[in-house]
Amino acid sequence: MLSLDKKILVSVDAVGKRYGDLIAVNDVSFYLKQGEVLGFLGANGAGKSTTMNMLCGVLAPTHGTITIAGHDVVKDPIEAKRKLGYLPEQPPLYRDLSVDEYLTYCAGLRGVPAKQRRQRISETKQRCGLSEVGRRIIGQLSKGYQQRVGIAQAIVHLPPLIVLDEPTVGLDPVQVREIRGLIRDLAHDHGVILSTHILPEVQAICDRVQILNHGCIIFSDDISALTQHLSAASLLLSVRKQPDLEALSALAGVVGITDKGDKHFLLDIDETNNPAERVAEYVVSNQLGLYELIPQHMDLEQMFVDITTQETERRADEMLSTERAQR
Amino acid sequence: MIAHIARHELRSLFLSPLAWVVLALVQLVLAYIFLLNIDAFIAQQDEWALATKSPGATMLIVLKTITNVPTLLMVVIPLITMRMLSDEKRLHTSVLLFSSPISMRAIVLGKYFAVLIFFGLSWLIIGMMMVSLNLGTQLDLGHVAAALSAVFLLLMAIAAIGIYMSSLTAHSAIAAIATFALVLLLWIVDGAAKLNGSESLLSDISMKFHYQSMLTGLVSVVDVAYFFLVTGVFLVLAVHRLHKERVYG
Repeated sequence: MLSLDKKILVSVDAVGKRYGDLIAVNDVSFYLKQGEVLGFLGANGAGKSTTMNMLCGVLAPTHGTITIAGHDVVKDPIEAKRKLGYLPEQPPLYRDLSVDEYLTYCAGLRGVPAKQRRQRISETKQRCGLSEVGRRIIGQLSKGYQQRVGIAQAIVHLPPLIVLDEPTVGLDPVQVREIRGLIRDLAHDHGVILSTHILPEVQAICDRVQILNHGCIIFSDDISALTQHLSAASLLLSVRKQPDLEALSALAGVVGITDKGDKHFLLDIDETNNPAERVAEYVVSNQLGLYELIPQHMDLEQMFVDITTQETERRADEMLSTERAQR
Repeated sequence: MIAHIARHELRSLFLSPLAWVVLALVQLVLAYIFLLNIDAFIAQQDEWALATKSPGATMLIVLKTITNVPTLLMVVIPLITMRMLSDEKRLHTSVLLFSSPISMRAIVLGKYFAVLIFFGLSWLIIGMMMVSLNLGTQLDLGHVAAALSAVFLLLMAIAAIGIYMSSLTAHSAIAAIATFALVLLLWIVDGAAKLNGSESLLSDISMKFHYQSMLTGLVSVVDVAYFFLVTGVFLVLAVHRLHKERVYG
C-alpha cells in the first residue's frame, strides 16, 4: 500500500506542447511516487503519447518542467534518462538483430556496465519470458514476443521509472494477461507510468488513474475513488403490469423514477439507504409480476464517455460565452 | 558510448547484403581499372624507357587509378550513409536512442565512425593494391601516401555529408540522391572558375580542386583543412538537426 513518506519519483509541472497553433498537450501536471502504477487514459489523439515522449526526453516540452528522480529532463537530460526505461507505442526494435544482440545493444545504450550486461540480460529475459528465444531474429517473432522484447528493453537497466505506452495493444487475451501480470510484478520495485485506451486495464493494474482529453487532465484520482464512482446508483425494475409510480417513489430510499417504456423503470436510489428489498416487497405484494430487479453499475466505459462529453460540453459553453462577451 | 553505437552500426551493416555488394563492387571496379593501367604501362614501357624524363609507375598506374576513385566513392558512400539516421526515424527506433542517456553528438559520431571504419576497410585494400606494385618496381612511396591520404580525406567528407542528409529525411533514397547531388556539385563547382581563368572562391570550395592538388604529391595544410572543415560542418549540422527534431517532433 502507498504511504506518504515514499519518495516522489517524477514530478511534471505545467507541461505543455504546441505545434504551431495546435495545442497537443496543455498545462499537464502530475507526480508519481516510487512503487506506484499510474494509468493514463485517453482516446486516441488525446495527447497521451506526446506526454510520454516529453516525459522520456524524446520531445522537448514547449513550456513547463519535468523532473525525474531530481534531474530536470531538459536541463540535465543524460542523468534524467539514466533513471528511466521507455517502451513507446511502436516498440523500437531492430528487426534484423537477434533478441540477445538487441538487448546487449540496449543495455549498453542505457548505461549497463559491460561486465554486468550478460547477467542483466539473462535476468531480464527470464522475467519477460524470453529465455527460449534469445537467439531468434526479432523480425521473425510473433507480435506478443516482440512486445515482450520491447518491455525487456525498457527494464534491462533496472530503472526506477518505467514508462509504457499502450503495452498490450494488438495482443491476444492470454498475452494481455501475462503482460499485465509482468507490469504488476514490476511495480513492486519500480514506478510505472502506463498509458492505454483500454479501460479495464487501468482497473486491473493501476493504483491511480488520470484521464486525458484534448491535452488536458480532466480526471485524476485513486483507483478506489474511481471504483466508487462506478458503484450502483440506480436499480432497473421490470414488471409485467403497470405499477403505481407515486406509491413506488414514496418508498424510502427511492429518489426518482424514469420510465424507460415497455414497463421498464429506472429507479434512482439513495446509496446509503438501498431500497431494493422494499421495492421487491412492494411489487410482489401487489402482484405486478416482478421479473427483473438489477443494480446498475456504471461501467468504466460509460463513465469515461460521461466525463469526456461533460468536458467537451463545458468547453463548448466556455467558447460560446467568450464569443458572446467579445461581441 | 560512441564505440558502442559504432559497433552496433557496423554489425547491422554487415548483416545487410548491401554492404557486401558495395565492398565487392568497389574492389572489382578498382581492380579492373588498376589492371588496365598496368597493361597500358607495360605496353608503353619501351617508349618511356627511351625518354629522358619518364613519369614512372607511380604516375602512370597509381595516380591514374586513384583519379578514378572519387567517382566511385560519390556513388557508393551515399548508399551506405543513406539509412544511418533516416531508417531510425522511419522504423521509430530513434525513440530508443533519444530516451537513452546519450548525447546527440554520440549518436551522430557513433554512426559516422561506423561508416568511416567500413570504408576504411575499402581504403586499406586500395592502399595494399597500390603498394603491391612495389614488389615489381620502385614506387615513389611519399607520393603514393599523399594520394592515399587524399582518398581518405575525401571519403571522410562525403560520409559526413551523407550522415547529414540522412538526418534530414525519413526516406533513405532521398538522402542518397541529395548526398550524391551535393557532392557532385562541390566536385564540379570549380569548372566556372576555370572558365574565368582565375582562382576564385569557387575553386576554394571545390572538392576536386583540393583533391587534385593533393594528388600532385603536395600535402598542404589548406587542402587537409578543407576536408576536415567540410566533415566538421556537416557533422555539427547533423547534431543540430537531431536537437531540432526533439523540439519540433
